[in-house]
Amino acid sequence: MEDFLFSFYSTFVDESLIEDLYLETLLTPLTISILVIMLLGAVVFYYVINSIRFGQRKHWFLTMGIGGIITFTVIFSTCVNMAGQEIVRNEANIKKGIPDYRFDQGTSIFFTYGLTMVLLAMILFFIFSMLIKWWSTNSRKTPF
Amino acid sequence: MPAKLYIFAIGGTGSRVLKSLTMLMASGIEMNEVTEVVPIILDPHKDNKDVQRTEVLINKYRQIRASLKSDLVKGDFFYTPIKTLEDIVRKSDGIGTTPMLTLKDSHKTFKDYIDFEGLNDANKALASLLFSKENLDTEMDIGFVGNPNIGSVVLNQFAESDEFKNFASNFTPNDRIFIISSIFGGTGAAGFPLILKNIRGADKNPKLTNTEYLKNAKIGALTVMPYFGIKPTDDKKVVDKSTFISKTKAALQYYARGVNKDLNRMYYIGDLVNLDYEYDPGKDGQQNNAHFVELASALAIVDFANAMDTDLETENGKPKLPVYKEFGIREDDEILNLKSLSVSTQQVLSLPLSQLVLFSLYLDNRLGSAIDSRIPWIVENPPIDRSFSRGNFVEIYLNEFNQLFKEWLDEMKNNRRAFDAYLTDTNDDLSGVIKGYSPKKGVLGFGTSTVDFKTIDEANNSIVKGKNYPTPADKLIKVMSEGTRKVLSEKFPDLFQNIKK
Repeated sequence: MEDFLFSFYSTFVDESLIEDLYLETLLTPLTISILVIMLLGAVVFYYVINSIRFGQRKHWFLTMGIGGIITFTVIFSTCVNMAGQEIVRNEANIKKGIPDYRFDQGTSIFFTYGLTMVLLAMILFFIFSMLIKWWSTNSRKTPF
Repeated sequence: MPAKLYIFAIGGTGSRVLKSLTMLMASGIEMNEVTEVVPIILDPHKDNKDVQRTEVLINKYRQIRASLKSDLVKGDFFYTPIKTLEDIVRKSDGIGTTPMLTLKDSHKTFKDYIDFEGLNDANKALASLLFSKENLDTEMDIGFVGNPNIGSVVLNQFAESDEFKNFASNFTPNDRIFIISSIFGGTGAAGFPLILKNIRGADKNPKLTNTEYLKNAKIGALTVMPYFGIKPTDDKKVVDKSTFISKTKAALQYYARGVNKDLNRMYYIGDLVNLDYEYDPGKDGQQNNAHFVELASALAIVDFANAMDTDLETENGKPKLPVYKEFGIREDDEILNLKSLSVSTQQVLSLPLSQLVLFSLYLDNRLGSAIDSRIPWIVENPPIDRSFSRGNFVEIYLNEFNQLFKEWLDEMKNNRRAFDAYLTDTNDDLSGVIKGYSPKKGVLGFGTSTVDFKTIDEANNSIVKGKNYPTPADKLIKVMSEGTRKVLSEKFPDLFQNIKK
């Protein structure tokens, strides 16, 4: 699973960051988290809220947006947290006095990765919506 | 087996009661023992606005009903079809194309009608004894203006009319007859005993067929006693309301002796609290505001239509178990709402009438925005779209019927005694729409649950799921019938606990 996700994410995310996530076997839990977050968002929208009042397209976008924010928070905080742990990437460099820790790409890379995953999460939310909306009483015509 | 209910609506009161019945039928009120209703309006007063309004209303009802392709089920709006004689006779020759029965020579004065000048001296003297000069000079196209003695002569032509012969030739043992009349006027007071006599005594008329069926027909009648007055004037020719009670007493005595025993069901209604109208029988004549008594009178017809066949058996022209009924209310208030009515009346009336009120409000305030909002029940096949909402069904039939329904409610609200059961000037919040009742408590018993047009939409969404409708018109009527019923029974359990479905 990790191998598949590594090759998948490598095509559009900073390779060094993906490598670090791969080595820490974080790609699978993070991907599952995003899947669960967005599936939960869709289920809540279509079956829990399931209302004319909160079932319009703007509310669908709002739910997707909330899922995106949670996704971003999970991704970004995971990367920052891992960076804070100062996990040594190359012992030899450390001995030479060159700092070489995993997750040392910097917050801008984390930020970009977070936004990329938000985009992916939105695509997932759309797919989940298309799959489950038909059984919703009041929102089966949302977003279209 | 199809069972028709023929309703003879006599005079202005007959038409107004028929109007109320049409509203109740539009609401889907249950009439379990009849499959269709055939109204026959009997009124010589061609320009009577009440008659005209009722005819327009019935035509709208029929147009709506004719536009629906699927079979309606009990409780749906417009469930029971309204037919004309032309619809049911095998060969009508253009007779009975409208509910209005044509009276011959009604444009003449009564004097000309009986050919007074052609009578010999003895008969002239007798006629002068029976009819005053004002009677003889009465122009009959404005009705019998409170003179049943004129009506009893002129309406005798009813038995010879093609409409009556057609009615007789198509009458079956399953069919029922109901006669609506007022007892304090002219046309109704004269027409009721006459129609009854011609039906029960059909075997004496050689020109009729199915005479045995008619003789033993299930017949109900409603006699409306005074419930409105006429403002006093100096003109002695006009109807005088002070005579209403004496006329009523005299007629009741006559009915007790010669009429009541021929009826399977007799309903009496009247009201001491009433409003005086200007007397105006001319070209602009007689347009009375709708009144609660007419609504209650229409409930008598509903009661008759729900009576079991076994309770209405007749042998040799005599009903086995004649029943006489009066209408009563629980609270003697000047302004009535649903709470003022007895439980049995509420059980029949509250749900369907409230459903129609919600439908009416939805048509006025929500349908347009619902079409724009892509709500599932609106957009799913067949879609209710702008072209449908601008088409004949909604614009000409349904909206115009709705306009007449709102006028009817408003008129009852402003009459005396008033029937003011609904708050109809609402934009979105429907929680106070039924006066005297609040929606059930909200979650965990706090506050009240929301009731608005979106609540109806949500009920409708659950109803259309997985169903198909042949046309948008069918969908609109059937889904709104079921949806409004669902909303009312779920949100107003206090009112509907006895009739929850």
